[in-house]
Amino acid sequence: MQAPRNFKHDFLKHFLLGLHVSRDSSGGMMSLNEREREIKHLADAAMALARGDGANWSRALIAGLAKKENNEAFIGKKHCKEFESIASPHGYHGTSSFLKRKMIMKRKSFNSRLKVRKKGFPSPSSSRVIPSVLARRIVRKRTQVLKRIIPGAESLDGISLLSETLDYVVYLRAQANIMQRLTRVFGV
Amino acid sequence: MRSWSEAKLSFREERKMDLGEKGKFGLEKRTVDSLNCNTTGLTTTEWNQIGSLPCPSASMVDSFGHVIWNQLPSNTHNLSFSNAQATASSSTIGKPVPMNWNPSDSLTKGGMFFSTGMGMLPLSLSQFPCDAGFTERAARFSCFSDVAYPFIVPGSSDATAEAQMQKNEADRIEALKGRSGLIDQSSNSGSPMKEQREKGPNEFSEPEFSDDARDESPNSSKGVFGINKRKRSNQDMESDQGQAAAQLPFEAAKDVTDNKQKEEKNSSTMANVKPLGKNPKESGEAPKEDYIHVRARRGQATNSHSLAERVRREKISERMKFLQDLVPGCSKVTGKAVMLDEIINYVQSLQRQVELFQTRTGSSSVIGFTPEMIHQQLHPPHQGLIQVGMAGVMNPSDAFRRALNVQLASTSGFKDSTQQMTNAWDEDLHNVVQMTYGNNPPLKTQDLNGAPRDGFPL
Repeated sequence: MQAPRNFKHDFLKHFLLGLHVSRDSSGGMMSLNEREREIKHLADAAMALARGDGANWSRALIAGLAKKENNEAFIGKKHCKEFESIASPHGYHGTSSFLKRKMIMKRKSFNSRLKVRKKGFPSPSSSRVIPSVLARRIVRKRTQVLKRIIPGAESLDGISLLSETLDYVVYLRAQANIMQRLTRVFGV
Repeated sequence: MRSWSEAKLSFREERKMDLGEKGKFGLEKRTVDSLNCNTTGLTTTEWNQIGSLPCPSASMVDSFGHVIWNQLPSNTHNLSFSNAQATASSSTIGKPVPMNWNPSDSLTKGGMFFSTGMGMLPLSLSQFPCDAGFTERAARFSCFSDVAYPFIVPGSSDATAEAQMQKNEADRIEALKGRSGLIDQSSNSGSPMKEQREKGPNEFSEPEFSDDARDESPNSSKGVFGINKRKRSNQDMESDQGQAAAQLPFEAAKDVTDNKQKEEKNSSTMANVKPLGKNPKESGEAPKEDYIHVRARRGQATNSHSLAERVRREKISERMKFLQDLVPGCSKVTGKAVMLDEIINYVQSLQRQVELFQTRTGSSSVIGFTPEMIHQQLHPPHQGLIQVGMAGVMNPSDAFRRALNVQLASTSGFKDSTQQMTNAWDEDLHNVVQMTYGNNPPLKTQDLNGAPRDGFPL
């Protein structure tokens, strides 16, 4: 599946605008690190703005960007309003408080799981060899990795996590396409 | 009529351009691409001639539509591509009107395409709904028992699938106007399917259909995942339309199935949804109910826990199927663990690519160079990996040469490169041009950024 056309237009527009603004506002030269970071923020902002409100990751990106004070310089005043309009109605305060609660819950369940044994479980000595348990552990580890990779997906449960990755992959691929063409045009 | 055809033409062109991108970058393994190869090869060469501009704006697309519409009467007689296109156009409805930059060739082909497109009009009608086509898509979603349907849309290449799709489409559009179509469909489905009213399968029909109607993206995609988040955020106004559309078949199917079946809880905006008007009583009680009624399948356990588990498992497997289609090279892989691994790798590689492009953009927009920057630029070792790993479009020889160049350039030390950096852009272009013509440029003067530039299939 592909990302929709107007997303591509919007992303390109936002990104280029942001590049212009940052170039004008930066004035003199800045180090490459700063420049890279700025462009990364810019690209994230353009992505999230173009995506709008339909996905969790876009809101998470915007919320993350809006928090940092030093970003406002290059994000531009016009973008700021859109940021607030997207981030605030949903009360997206980042994942901090929710996550803490969830981690506490997970710790509790983990401890309890150590003690409690379901019926029909074989002896503990052979528990590491059981493929189902192994598979579950692997899946759990990988979902954790996935949650780290995808912005704003830490508080999602398995099903919504998968839908979120689906959405994210589609738009990330579109972004990569666009940026590839862009860099080609730039002559790099 | 005329404006509608023009709109359809523009849709077709957009689809073609997107398909052309697909075919060009070769990530998608759809059968559509294999059919598109002949024709998108054409378009990709045209793209390259133009110098690979980014996607033309929608205004340009519309202008193409206008021009070709005008040229149509003179070109309908041109059937030179009829054989090749007869099969291709069946699958790629509205098979791309090529770019107008080669006027003589393109317009004749365009005219021909349009004439075949006219023959396919009923199909294309369903495949390219207009902007107001939420209701049509919702009609599609009504077939929640037929999950295989969405996969037919992008991948079908034979006439039978098209016919079935057409039938489905006709059914669905009919369902909207009167719900008899829906009733027929659900009775035709035959097998004792679960009559769940979850939004899971319907949600995931949506991303598939976003292919068809690219212009509707924000609402469609918002509709998909707005539905997901509805439990948390009640004020997803933009997804209302998508959800409203999704609710309509719900309302419709209620007549067919159990009267007790209710819908999932929605936000207060559900009250604004106007159903088809045949069941005011049920639309009244719809927003109040909170849970899903699931019927146990024949021969399955009726324990509530197992039912819920089964629902959950099916949701997960459905999403995994979609992801499988999306991530390249995952058709053979089965099982959650391995699939997740592939997904993670894919997402990470995409992110790394984007990072690469970002650094390139940054360096190109910075005016001056310092030695520090040059050293940093020469450091991307993963470039070679990406390049070798994704030699889809490039010839193998080119790929190897470029990989070699990257490796050699990185090991040749920084001294030579710093002096060359100043003339980097000129040399870069020169070398790239040489490489595309198969010459063997001197290896040491390769600019790292230049070498892997071409043929980055995505």
